[in-house]
Amino acid sequence: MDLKKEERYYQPDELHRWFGISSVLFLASIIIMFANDYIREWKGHQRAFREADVALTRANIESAAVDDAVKTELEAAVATAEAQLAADQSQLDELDSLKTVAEGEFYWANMNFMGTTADLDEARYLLEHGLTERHGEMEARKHFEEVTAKVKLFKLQSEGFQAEIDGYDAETTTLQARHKKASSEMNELLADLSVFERKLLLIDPEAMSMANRVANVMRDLPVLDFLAPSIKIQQIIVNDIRDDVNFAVVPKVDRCTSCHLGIDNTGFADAPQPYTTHPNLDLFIISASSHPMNEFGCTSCHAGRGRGTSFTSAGHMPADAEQAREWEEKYDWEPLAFWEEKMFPAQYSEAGCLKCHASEPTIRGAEKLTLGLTIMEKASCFGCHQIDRFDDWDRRGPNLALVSGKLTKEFAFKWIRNPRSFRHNTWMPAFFNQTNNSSAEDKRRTDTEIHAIVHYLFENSGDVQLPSTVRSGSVSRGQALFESVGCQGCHVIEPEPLAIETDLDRMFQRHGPNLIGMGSKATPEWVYTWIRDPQFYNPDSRMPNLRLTSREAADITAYLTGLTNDRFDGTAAPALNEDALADVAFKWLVKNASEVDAKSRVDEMDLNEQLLFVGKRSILHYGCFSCHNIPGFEDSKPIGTPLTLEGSKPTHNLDFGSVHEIEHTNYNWFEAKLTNPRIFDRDKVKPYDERLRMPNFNLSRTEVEAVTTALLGLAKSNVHADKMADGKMDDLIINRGMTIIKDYNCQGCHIINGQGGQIVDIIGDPNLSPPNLNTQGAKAKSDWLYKFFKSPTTIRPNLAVRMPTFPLADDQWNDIIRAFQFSAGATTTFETPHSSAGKTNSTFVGAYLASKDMGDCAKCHVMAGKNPTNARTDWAPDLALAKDRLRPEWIVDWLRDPQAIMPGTKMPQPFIPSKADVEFEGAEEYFPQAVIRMAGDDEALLESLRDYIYSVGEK
Amino acid sequence: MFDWLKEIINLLSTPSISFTLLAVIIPFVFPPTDWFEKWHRRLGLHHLWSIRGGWGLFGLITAFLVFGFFDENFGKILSKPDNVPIMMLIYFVFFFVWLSMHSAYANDARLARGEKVEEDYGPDEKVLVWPDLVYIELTALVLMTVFLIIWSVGLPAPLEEPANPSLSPNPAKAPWYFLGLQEMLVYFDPWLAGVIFPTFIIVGLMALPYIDDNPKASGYYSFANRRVSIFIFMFGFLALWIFLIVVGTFFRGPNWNFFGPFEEWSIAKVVPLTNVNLSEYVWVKLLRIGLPSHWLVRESVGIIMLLLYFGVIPVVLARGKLRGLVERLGPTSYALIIFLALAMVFLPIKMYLRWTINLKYIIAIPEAFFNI
Repeated sequence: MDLKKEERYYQPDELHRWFGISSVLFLASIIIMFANDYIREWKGHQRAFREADVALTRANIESAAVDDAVKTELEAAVATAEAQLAADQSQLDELDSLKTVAEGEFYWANMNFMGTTADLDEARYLLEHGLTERHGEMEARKHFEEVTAKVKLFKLQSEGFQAEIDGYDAETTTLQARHKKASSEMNELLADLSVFERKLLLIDPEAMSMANRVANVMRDLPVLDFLAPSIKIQQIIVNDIRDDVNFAVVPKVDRCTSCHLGIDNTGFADAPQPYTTHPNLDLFIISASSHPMNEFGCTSCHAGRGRGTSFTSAGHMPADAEQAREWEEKYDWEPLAFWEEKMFPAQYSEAGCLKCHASEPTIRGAEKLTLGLTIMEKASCFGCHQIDRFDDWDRRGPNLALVSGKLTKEFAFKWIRNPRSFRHNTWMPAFFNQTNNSSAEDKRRTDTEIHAIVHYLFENSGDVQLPSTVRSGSVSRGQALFESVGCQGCHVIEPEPLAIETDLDRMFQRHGPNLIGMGSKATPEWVYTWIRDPQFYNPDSRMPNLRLTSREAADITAYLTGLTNDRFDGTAAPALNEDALADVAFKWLVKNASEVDAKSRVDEMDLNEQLLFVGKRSILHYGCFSCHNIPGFEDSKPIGTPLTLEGSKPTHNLDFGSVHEIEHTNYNWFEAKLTNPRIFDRDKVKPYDERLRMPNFNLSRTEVEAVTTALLGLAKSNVHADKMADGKMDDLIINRGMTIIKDYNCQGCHIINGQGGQIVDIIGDPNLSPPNLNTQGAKAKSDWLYKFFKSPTTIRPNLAVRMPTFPLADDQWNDIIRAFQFSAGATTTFETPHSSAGKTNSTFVGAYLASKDMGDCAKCHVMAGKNPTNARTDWAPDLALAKDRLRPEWIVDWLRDPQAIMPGTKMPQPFIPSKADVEFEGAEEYFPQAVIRMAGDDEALLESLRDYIYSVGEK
Repeated sequence: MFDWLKEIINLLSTPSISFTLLAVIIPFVFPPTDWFEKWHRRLGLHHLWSIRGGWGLFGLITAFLVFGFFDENFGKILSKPDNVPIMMLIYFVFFFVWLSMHSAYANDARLARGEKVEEDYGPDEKVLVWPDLVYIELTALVLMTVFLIIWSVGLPAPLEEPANPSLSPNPAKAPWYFLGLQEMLVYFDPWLAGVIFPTFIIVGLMALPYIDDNPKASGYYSFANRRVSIFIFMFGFLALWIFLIVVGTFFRGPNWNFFGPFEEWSIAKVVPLTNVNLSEYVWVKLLRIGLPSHWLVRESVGIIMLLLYFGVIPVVLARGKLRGLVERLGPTSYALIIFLALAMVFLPIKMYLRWTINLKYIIAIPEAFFNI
């Protein structure tokens, strides 16, 4: 079908040209496609890391270099051995050829043997068959016996040849022994080195053979790199921590290690990101840690998008604006769009701990998070905001049911209006004069509301029977008592703010209020009654009873009420504005009634009724009942947003209002809110009762950051129960008890699980301070502990500080005792009493070891009421108490090494004679026979000491 | 910079204004009658279809988009990977309209001079399936692949987070090709905007070959021979489809509120929704006697108005202006055409009723989930 060119509408050349152009473009686009894949961010990191790894390995080889002298010596030995080996070569060769011959024979014999074994199986079957069928068994038996004999013959033959071979081998080994020993010593010396050298062979092209070098380049070439590249995505799949993708819950897949290549390698501690070593390998990443990365992944803790393989798509978030700018420049970073669970900025990384350590009151290693949770406990965030973690917690603020017996109305008004004007570091937050209610008009309203609240509280307050007078006390004695008896376990007296950053120890110290200005607040009668028996005034108070005598109480009262706040006393509460009161009442009423009705109802009320009405509405509005027990509000519901899953709340559900100067992320919102709870009302036009009303806790920067960390931690999680830190019954038991321990601030005085005991700083001498309670569960008998808690008795007569009586219920004491026991791994509740009765020999040896010449226990320990000889500061508990108090196994552990159990204790390790100590001429003169016999058996000697201790005070 | 200009453009973009402008301009650009034709020439709008005019329009669109790109707010919307197809749509619509009109005007000029149209190849020239057609198709296929590769390399797929049934994005937007329908939802009940109108559009387009009995301009471009048809089509296509897609893409922000191109998409923007049904206009606002309890009485005004619209107008027109059409096509085809045309015009009518008197529904029978 030939057509002339002129006849065709489209000219072939023209079409060819277009086809040519498009083909070239197509090729170019394919190249671009592969190039685009080849230059992916993580591939670059892997190439760069490999170079760094090569450099590190070379450096390691360098530093692993061995002592030259030793090496030379070994080399010489190897050389000598080799020379000898060469000399023996002809002998070796002969042995080798003999062995070859023998092996041939063995092969033949063994083959015969194997073959006849199979025949034997057949012969056995035929025989059995003949016996069953009762036919031809004679013949079969004969055959069977023949084959058995053959097998035996071949077996003998093959064993003979085997023995011959073994003989040649043994001779060869003997000839080679020296060389083998020398070279294995050499290998041992170079073991570390060879690990690095082998590694270098794998990663360093210069160290590779030519073939490997070519393959090394080929496998990572574009296009070819789909086969078996060395540069490839690294991922960790964690099956029991899952990601919720809404329609499915899928195992966590973290590809972070595609770029963070040195994360588990200590050699990269100073390397630049992303190759840097994890800063805490003791706790994380490596398999020896409690959180190996293969079991936990990365985003389980850090959050972010685990599947992301570029800086932005992994969901990195900067710590501050400066880092953001740096990242934009360096990594072209932007916040990952369309991904809620972005990575926690570095300062909040502890937030991730909470999802697994959910019920732990103190999460060790996560100090910031624990501080945040502790602040939430202190500030009583859960009063207004429902948080699962705190669901059964009591109100934190003072009980106001008897407030008229404690405060004056004047004080209450000024306190509510500005708590910090009285106490600079109170946990009572400020509701008034905040950024959204400080106009003159607002103040007219809020002052009226405060008047009404005070009126309501005092009208509804019950009466408390206080003594009419209190005996006068001594201020100086009072101060001395205050500083010695243990008040400072929970209370401070700090007239001025200290420039100390809040941390956990500081929280223990500030468990109770800062007791400045008590004279301006309460009457001596009230203070006296309160410190003698806190539960008399407030049955719900967690303040313990120090069992003060009336004189001690009078002294402390004199001291505390002598502290006044003159500036606070000098200001006066404004008078009630009755017009404003009617206005406020009307504004509340008109919300549910017509204007006319509301007006007439206001007019119908007298002043008292108006005050009560507005007071009640205001208490309801501000949520005072969330922290305080107030009559009439016993069952009111929390007024705030539930926070149980606040960390998972979508950012767009957080109302930033017109605040645009901060990046819209949840943590920025939390920080802004905590710093100024009313900030998001800025530039808003709202009626008073619709404005934000979260009060201002005046949190410091550190505190805000800590609480934000905790809030971020309150998030949804998909962790399998087995992986939860509190997934086991034991953990739950410990956590339950530790929660009570924290709530009642036991750690204000005692070190428990390595934390607390800050009162030592005040007392000065650890030996005059409350005891360290490490191993307490293994140490004290549970029934003794219970009795002691219920009614503390003196154990250390030299201590001025007292164990107070706590208002705890039996189940709470049980929880505490169990927590001690489970923490120490000693979980028996009921035990057979240990007795030294009938162990006269053992007790005798123990008594000898404790005697004046040996351990001289009585130097420090009270012995059945008999005071020690040493100075009072060195006194130690009465040993007569031990049998009721201490568990026998623990005493042995304790005696073995006191410092291991209580670092810093003055208790010396007792003298336990060894065999050598008693094997000298005339030892019998120094040591009793029994001691000499037992010497060397440390365990028996320690037990004898224990048995002696158990006998102290026994008749 | 240029804040005043941005303010003006924001204002002009308001659907009521921009739609009105478009509706007014279209008959001058695609003149259906001699009067419009006269003004079309007088205003020089026919130059749009010259090559220079095409470049001019192209430059204008591009200049506007570039200007918009440098604005913080508009730039955000324009640079969204999802919106790339809409940008292409704008250029493609412009290019193909221009190309067809350019060819049509060229042919019209040839015909006026008594020459043959350009598409008339004559008996000597041949276009072969092989190699010409298949070869060209292959080349086009290769070029399209190149384009797709470059596009996907340069602009990774705009994936969003895993779909969450309890968390819908705001604004929740349909795929771009459905944004016109979604925009109609502002003015109509879902079953009308989502079911009936799309059906009418499809059925109407399918019916076109049977309705259209004009043998002229078949197989070649021409405007003069079928200016009324082209005008109607262009009005429906540009004003009632493309325009709505563009509005839906660029001008609808959070809560489906309208935002000018240079306005910030603030989630807090509040637009009062005080739309009122026709029945409420009549019974509550006008007569002040409250709504009748029976729906038939309540909606009687709306029902009568709709009956008048779809029942009486066709008859009046058939006896008046469109008598010729009825005679030419017969009553069935006429009825079909006029019904489709009235349905099409119903959309802008309803839009204007919403903009002017906040009319929600002409007939509202929530009892039967039936609203018009």
